[in-house]
Amino acid sequence: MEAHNPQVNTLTTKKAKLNKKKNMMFWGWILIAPTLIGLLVLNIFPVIQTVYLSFHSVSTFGQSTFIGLENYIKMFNDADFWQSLSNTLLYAGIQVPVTVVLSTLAAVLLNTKIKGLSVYRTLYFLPMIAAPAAVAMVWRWLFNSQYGLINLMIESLGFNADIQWLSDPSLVLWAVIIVGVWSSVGYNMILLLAGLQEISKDYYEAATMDGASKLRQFFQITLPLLTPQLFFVLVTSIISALQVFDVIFVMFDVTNPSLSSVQSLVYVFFHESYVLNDKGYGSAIIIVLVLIIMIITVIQLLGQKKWVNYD
Amino acid sequence: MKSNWKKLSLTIGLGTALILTGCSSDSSANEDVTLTYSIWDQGQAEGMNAIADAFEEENPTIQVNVEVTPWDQYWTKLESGAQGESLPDLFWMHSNEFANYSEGQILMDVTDLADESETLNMADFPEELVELYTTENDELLGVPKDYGNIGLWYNKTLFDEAGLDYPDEDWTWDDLLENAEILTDVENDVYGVLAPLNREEGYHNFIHQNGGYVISEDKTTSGFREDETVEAVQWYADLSVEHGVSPTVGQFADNSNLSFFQSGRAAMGFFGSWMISQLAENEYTNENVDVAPMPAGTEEAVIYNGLANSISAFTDYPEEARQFLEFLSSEEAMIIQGEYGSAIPALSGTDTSFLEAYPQFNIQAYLDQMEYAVIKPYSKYTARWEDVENQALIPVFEGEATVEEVSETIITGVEEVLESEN
Amino acid sequence: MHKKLNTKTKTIIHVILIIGAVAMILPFVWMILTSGKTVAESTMIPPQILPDSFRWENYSTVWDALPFISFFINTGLMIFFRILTSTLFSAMATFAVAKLEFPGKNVFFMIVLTQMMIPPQIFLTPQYLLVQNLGLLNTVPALVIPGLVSAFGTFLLRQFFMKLPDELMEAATIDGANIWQIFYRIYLPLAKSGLVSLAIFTALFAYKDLMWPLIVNMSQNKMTLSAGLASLQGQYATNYPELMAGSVLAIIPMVILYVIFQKRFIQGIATTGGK
Repeated sequence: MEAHNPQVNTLTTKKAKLNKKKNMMFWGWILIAPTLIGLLVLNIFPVIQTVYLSFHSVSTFGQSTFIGLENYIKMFNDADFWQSLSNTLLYAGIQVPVTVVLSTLAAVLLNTKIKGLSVYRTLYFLPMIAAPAAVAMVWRWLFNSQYGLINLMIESLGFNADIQWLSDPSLVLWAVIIVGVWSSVGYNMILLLAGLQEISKDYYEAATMDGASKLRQFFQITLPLLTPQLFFVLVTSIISALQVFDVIFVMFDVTNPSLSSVQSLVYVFFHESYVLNDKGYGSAIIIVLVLIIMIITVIQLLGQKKWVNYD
Repeated sequence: MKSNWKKLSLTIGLGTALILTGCSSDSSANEDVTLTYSIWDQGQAEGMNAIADAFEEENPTIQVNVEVTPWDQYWTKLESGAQGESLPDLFWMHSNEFANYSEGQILMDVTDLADESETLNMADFPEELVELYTTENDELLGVPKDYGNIGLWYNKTLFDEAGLDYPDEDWTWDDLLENAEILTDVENDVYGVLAPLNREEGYHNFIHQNGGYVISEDKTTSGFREDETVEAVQWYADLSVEHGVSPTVGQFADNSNLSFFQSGRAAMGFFGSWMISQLAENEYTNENVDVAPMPAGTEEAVIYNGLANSISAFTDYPEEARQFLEFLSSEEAMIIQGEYGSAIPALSGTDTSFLEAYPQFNIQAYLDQMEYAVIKPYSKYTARWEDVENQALIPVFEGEATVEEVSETIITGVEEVLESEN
Repeated sequence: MHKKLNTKTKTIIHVILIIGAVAMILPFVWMILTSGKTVAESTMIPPQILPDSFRWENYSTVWDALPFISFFINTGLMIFFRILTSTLFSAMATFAVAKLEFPGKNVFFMIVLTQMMIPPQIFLTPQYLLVQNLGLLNTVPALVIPGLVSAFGTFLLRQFFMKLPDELMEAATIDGANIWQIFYRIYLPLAKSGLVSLAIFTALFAYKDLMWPLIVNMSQNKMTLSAGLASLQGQYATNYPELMAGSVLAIIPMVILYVIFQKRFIQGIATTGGK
């Protein structure tokens, strides 16, 4: 109707468009502002500050002096650091595969048409919602060499039950691994179960018609189609396993002679930074951990093309 | 950046303070003040609160909040508080940490309070404790609150069953070992004595009983240079390693010595006077155990130590804080402390009030031992050389080395720390 | 695979699942049983399974020994404020990223993704120093601060906002609503299920966090349930019945929430993975 003056029309729409753009920009920045400022102040700047601190000696009363690489040199000569690094890697190397296998098994079994699905799901997830201090405390009690339920059960199966779970240097890490697996199976199982439920039944029907056995179906259909979830579970499990702390902190006293065989990098970081109050050295330790985690994660992201199926 | 912040907050703080004082200058006498008093032992909270209540009754304008922070976090809290100059007004001080705080000028000098006060007289407190909390320049930075030493606790029921006489003040090391051997019943997981890798409640007592010492009086050399020291620690470690009359260091990692004692699985154990309340709260130990003085070696000795109450150098209410410190150190407060069974009061003549709190036990043993008690070894960086000692002795208690073999490590490590103090 | 499972296979599956379920709840059962024992009963050799009579006094003892009410209040306030700020801010940011075109938004989203990649311990000491410089150690705000904003929340909500049609935006613009109104009145209500998922996550992670509350709030009456419980151990190292009673008290609130919002919990978690 108003087409009789096309020139004016385009001008106003241009203006309107420009206004709209400005308006969008204004609101866009307003809306992201709190999160952006928060992330800069609470996360991005702290990363820089931690790097800075790691080159400094920070005294009890807050003064910091530049000491170059001294914290890192100290770290590479610190037997405790190497021991805790190996503890951390060993922990992740065992806890993650065991957790992934068990949670896959649980998810596959729950993805069948059996009764009680929601009951099982509820129970398996229970460890995830308990406070870690409570979890670690009850496990510490279960592992007690004299009064513990675990040794009692082992004994009732007819084995020698004088197992010092919490003080034998060759066993302490296993105690932490058991707790680690126990508390994360349910969480990963739910992620995997969600993935399984997305797999179309048609695949199985076709395979059954072709006469493929259940086992073959599992390896040829289920596993490949589950790889996106498996990948996610693997990446997140490794990251959190490398950060293990709570359980060790609560289950092992500072006076425990086997502490060095079980302490993780994050534990040493905590101890150095907040018990011994050497925040410079603590920062150096945490930076090494972060680098390790980033490297492992990047390798996984690069390697995923080889096995993860995103169709 | 930081200094700007400090300036800004200082200005704001000063401004607020001015406004507040300006507003209240005419009614300052009635202004209510709240003091924070920080302690680390939940078990003593009741007694400390009772003292605070008594103080508030006498000084209605001053409120005292008793704040408990578990030992593991207590010192971290004070350290970070000191950085922000936001410490509690008053707090407990311990000999291990005192040097840090006196050097950092975190504590208020209360020498004049002691000089001027009508009730507070430093001569009424154990001399060594007063000395402990006094700097080289004669500044008094804390008033002793309590003292504590170590007793030999025994399970009456187990002694009765074995037909043995209870330990008494005449006991020697030999009596301890002989009785422990008879009382040990490995089949039933019962041990004669509990000898964990503990210093204050363990081998440090034995070192002094054998005529040795932990660090020299001038705080320059380690006592592990002396045969008496090495011999005593070996004798103590052998209770589990050689004789098997004590649980091993591994067993203690699972269950503390207190746990063994409270479950009736040990006939004897060494516990500090600060553990009495826990022994009384437990039904089993409350009924079945009692305490005797420590056994004698070549001489009689026991380790003792004492806390002090200190005032923060940064307190906003120095006058009120000093008033409360004076009260904490008064006979009235000391007796409350004793009667609540919090700790043995440091003020002379009031320690017997502690006896009334636990009539079921022979607490007198702790008081009597003060005659020959030795103060807990301390220097500037006590915790650091204690750690050296502890690490080096782990293999000894695991039975993989002798004290002789690790003594060189201890001497080097400890003396390095001692040297760094000067 | 889903079709006819014969009874034998079903039985085997149930047996395996039941073994797993027993392993999952056994520690909780042992926790509850121990919390009703006397110290003597808890330290029998061999262990005594059931208490002779359930000792409720353990609960009142530990309740009196520790400021549990403060623990509950501190934890509740921390969770409340973290949910309030992080869901609101995350929703705002997500809406901007998903529905608006403006320069800088990709850089912003990169920052969000980067934050998620970095292990949180690296933020810890600077955050601690920040709180200390603000003079906020030993306060409830100290507990809230690291959770004021959430990169994870921004990421999680994106899936929900992406699903919402863009046409709503255009329709509302024609009606003369400004962008804030469009966000607040139209999109926010539609993303409700995403917000609930995020709230649940925020609550769960805040409740389980141990290290942060442990280092910033050291006075007992300023601690959270998690940290307070850890400090309980230092004081009552030998009295397992009381330690277990304290543990039961600390996990009960979350268990109740979990039972009520079970579906939300599970759906929320299922949506985070894999895609």
